Amino acid sequence: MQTLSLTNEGRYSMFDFGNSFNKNSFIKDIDESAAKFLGRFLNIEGASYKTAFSKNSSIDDEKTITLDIQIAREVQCYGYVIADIRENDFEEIGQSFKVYTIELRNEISDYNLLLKQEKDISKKLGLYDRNIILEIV
Amino acid sequence: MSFISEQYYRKLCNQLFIQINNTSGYNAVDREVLRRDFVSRLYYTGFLHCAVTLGIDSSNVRDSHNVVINSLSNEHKLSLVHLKKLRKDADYKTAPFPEPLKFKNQDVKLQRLMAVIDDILLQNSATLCA
Repeated sequence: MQTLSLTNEGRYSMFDFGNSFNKNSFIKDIDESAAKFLGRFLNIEGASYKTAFSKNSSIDDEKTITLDIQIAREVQCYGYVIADIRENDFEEIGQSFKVYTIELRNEISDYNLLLKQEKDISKKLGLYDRNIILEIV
Repeated sequence: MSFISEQYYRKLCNQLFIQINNTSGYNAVDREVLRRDFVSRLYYTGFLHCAVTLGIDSSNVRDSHNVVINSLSNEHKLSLVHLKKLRKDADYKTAPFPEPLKFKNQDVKLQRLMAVIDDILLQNSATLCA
């Protein structure tokens, strides 16, 4: 298991620099579970992440990228390896909410830092205004 | 000194968390009970802090939970509304709580919630609504 170090903080989204999505750097350290998750969104049953991306270049088309994948990208930009992503809905105070639970491979020693990063991602993707809760553990 | 300024519920959550992690002293059922109590008290820690900070008398205002939550900025609203949902799960759901994760022990969710509540406790009336 990896432990997150502060040195990972500077590795933020490649989109900040106005570049198109670099699939090669994105898939470099990919986890197999995340591969299956993302493969599902690319309609490739049981695909490995690398296979999914090499077989389906439409990932380069921003229109095909779902919010789940956007979140996954942002989380990985901090140097985290995603083990699992789950999506749940619930209703409270007369409104609908969605929760994305991102389970990391990394062992986390500082949950305050992780929460700060979680909030930065939520703000960047405009999740707060859409009643979408990010839960990274 | 007041109940709120002394953060009694927060201190209680600390004690519960220590007990949850004491694998030698409690069996699995005990720890689940402790987890449910932990999440329930954690929600009220946040709710009461927000209510008092915003000057809302939660014991006399109708639908005080909704009033408090709807007074918050979207960022803090989502934190508290998620805790409220988990509090309901803790009190009513008979399925294992919290929902198990795929690889990690589910107690990491509780660790995250501690960070969430500590973030809420740092907020004042201006930042809660900003």
